[in-house]
Amino acid sequence: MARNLGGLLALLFAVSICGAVTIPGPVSDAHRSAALELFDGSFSSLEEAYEALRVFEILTIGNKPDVSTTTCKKVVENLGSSSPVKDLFYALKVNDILKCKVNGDVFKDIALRLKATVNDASTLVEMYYSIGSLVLIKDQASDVDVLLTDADGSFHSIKALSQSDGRWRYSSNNPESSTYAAGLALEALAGVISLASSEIDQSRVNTVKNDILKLFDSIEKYDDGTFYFDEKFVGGREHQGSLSTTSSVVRGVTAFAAVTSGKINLPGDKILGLANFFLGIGIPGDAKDFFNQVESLALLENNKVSIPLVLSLPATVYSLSKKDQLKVRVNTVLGSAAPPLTVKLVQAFRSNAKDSAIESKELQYDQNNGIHFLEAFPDNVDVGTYVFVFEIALHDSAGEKVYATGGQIHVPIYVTGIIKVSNAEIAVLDSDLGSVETQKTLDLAGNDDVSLSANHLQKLRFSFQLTTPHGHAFKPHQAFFKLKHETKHEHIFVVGNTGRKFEIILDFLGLVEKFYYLSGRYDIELTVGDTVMENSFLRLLGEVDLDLPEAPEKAARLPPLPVDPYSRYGPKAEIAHLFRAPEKRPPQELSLTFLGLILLPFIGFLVGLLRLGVNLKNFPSSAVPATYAFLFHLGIAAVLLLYVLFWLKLDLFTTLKTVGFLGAFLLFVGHRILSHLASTSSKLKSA
Amino acid sequence: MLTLVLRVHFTHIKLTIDICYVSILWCCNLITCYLDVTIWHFQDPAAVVVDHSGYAVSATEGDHTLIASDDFININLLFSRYMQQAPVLKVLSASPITFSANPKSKVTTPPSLTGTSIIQA
Repeated sequence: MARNLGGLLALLFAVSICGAVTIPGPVSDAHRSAALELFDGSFSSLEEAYEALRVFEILTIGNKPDVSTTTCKKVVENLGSSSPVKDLFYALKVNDILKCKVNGDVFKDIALRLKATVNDASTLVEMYYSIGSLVLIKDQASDVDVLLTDADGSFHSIKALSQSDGRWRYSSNNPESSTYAAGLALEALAGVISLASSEIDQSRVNTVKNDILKLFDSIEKYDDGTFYFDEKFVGGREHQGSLSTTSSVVRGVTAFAAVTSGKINLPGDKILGLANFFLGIGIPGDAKDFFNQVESLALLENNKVSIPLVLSLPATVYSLSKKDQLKVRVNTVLGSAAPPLTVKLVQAFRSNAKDSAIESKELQYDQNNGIHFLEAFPDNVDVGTYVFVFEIALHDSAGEKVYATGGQIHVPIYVTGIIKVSNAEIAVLDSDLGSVETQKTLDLAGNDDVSLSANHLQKLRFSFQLTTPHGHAFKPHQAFFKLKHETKHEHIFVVGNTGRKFEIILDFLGLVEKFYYLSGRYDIELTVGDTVMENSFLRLLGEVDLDLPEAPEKAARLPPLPVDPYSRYGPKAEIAHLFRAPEKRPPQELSLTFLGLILLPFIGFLVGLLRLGVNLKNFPSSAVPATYAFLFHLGIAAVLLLYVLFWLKLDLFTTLKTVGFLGAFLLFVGHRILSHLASTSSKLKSA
Repeated sequence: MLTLVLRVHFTHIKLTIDICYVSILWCCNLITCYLDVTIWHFQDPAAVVVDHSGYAVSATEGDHTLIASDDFININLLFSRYMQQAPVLKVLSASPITFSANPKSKVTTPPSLTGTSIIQA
């Protein structure tokens, strides 16, 4: 729980940091692209349709989706029937933009009904929608009588809901006061003034102007000068965010200022702060927030109180090596051109010091591009982070419009350049006498490596110099000296500076414990980097062979290195299978001798047959017995051949199966031939 | 060439690692993904990951905390059978020049996280 709370606070801290650095620019094409994405042409209500059409109108978007036919149909439906007053209000708003074809009698009927609603209304929201609708009818149908006969009564009814701090209540029986309601009330009061048949008493108008001043006294402020309104009571009915609350107040104040004579003495910096609030939120992802932002900016663009002018810089990172020019743009909040004015660079100081680098300079104006620029940076502007202070001076102070330019505008600036690295030396020193054992001069821009050796009684000294383009000493954000052992153990040291020179001395006698008494080859690595350094580098300087003593028995063990996931999940090493060595074989002559011995019984068998007098005299002479005799002898030969094949290649099961078939065959043909021989022999005996 | 540009805040709660995975699945050869990654580390709350060499060059942002990196894991490893055993993989790590520090103050002590030991996704 504490961790989540800390994380949340850190998130808010990060957000505030991001907000502090943001320099809002005027509305640009990014807003137009976002508008086409947010408002895609499908609206669930006329309120959404009005918001989309209004955004397209303000941003002058040409290729918007065509929703005229379907939306005008809904407008005519709502105006014809007895819709709630809110739906009437937004139908008239949409009709104001789309110019649908509505019958004039419809406006007359609506106006009569709305006048009755104004007199009978008991809540601020009802009065707001009724009076707003009447103002819209006045603009759209000039022949309809929309004037309020009892404007003083309506004015008094709305004013009666105001509070002493400038905020308003929603109704007389609702004690909760709201800044959002103040915006609605001011807009309704402006409507009453424009609809009055006779002029409203000036003292009442002045009272409302005082309410506006009191309302602006309770404005909230960010550290960067941004102003916004917020509700005091969170969790109330229909709580509004700061964006919709601020937007409501802007609508009300600008509407009231437009219909009244004289000026509302609001400070210009608060108007400019409100503009910066709407610009500083970037591009909202919500359609209603987007509408609130864009419409508020449009109202601020052209209002009677004071028109804010926005100073923005296309770039805040400038390179001395590329000779970049400082460029400043001044626009209105919607990006229109500003009146004739002069931009002064009042001051420029480093972000970590207070001495001024630039005294007051006036920027030149480029008429074609609409940019104020500084031809070149002065020579005392070196690389670093700066805060530039600008002021805007308008040329013609007697113009009709009043502009709010703000006081001094602080902009963080990065000035980058190429840092020169020079006088790099690396040396091995004797610890006692300080004498130089080995010293080498390095060229950090080149590729030469050093190869050193040292023991625990010696020191390693490394030094170099960094110079800015204007010849001053430079201290980088990152200056690391790293020793990396061949077993991947690393040790990082920060190289400090003494005067203009960066130097680090490693006394190995005091570092043997930090090195875990690990002797061997160490790679030397130098890293120098900074935000304003265009040539930050990581450089392998060479290696040093350290001869450290043996670790004592109670010394700390080497920490285990983190396991590399590649080695854990990558392909394994190739397996080299080791087969069993072939067994020893007898000599070839011995094998051939035994082959001869095996063949001897066969030869003996043949000799035995000859001595027994084997012959073919009894071979039958007729056809059928001769066939049987031939097949019998062929079967005998097949069995003998099978023996040979069994010896050469067949297995036991195949051999037995084949012998089974051959045996049956031999049994049949053997029986027939033996029967024939027996009958022949018996005939011969009887004869 | 795989390129991932991201900003790493140590105490930032937002975690959008799924975007990167989806990008890898959809486009394995050319990935450009802007990503905020959380690494919970009890260091200076203002410490972020800084890379003075591999940063996204911008005209309006000069503090080198928007990092460009291409040290991705081997893409074949993600689709091998090892993926089932290890739901957590080091998809992307920082370049050797990276370190964690407060970009607004000078570094006077060695940072505890530098180089490829900073896991970004």
